[in-house]
Amino acid sequence: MYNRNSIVDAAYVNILGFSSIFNIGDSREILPKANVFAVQREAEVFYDNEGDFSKYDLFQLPIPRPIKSENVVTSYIHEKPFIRTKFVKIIAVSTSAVFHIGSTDLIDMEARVKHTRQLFRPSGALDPEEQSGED
Amino acid sequence: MNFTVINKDINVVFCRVTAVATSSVFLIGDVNNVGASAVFDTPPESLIIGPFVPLAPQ
Repeated sequence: MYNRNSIVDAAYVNILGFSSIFNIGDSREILPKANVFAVQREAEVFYDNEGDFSKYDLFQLPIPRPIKSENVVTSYIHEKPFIRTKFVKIIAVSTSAVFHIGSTDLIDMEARVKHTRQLFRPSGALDPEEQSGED
Repeated sequence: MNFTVINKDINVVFCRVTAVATSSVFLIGDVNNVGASAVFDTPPESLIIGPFVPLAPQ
């Protein structure tokens, strides 16, 4: 397939993080992947041995793909061979996201995020609602 | 099925984006195939109240 040329005079990106891509120029395949185990704790406690991805199905199960039921024959007419942008400003690109200037054939991104919140109660202490006897 | 795309002139002056996040794409150009999947899990049991313990230790 014949692709158009992308013309960007200036681009500004502030933050680029966590398996994300900023690409200038053409590419064939972009396949970023990110597994995130996000823990929010009531106090600043960090254990360096936690977060085994294999213990959660979320990081193991295959993602269902749409099934192609009909064969579509596409044809493109590019009346103008350029995509022009004067200025692009992006604050952040994160977690297997892509900012791409140029043409590509395939982009396949995958992000899996598991959130957990942990509130501190010393062992033996009851929840205030439980102590009041109300539902 | 036959499908025809006619691309006319594109001329953007200024584009401001706050964030591109969690398997999303901002593309200035042409692409044939895009697959974007995001799995996000916050079940009720993700709220843990008790003494701090390491979660899923290795």
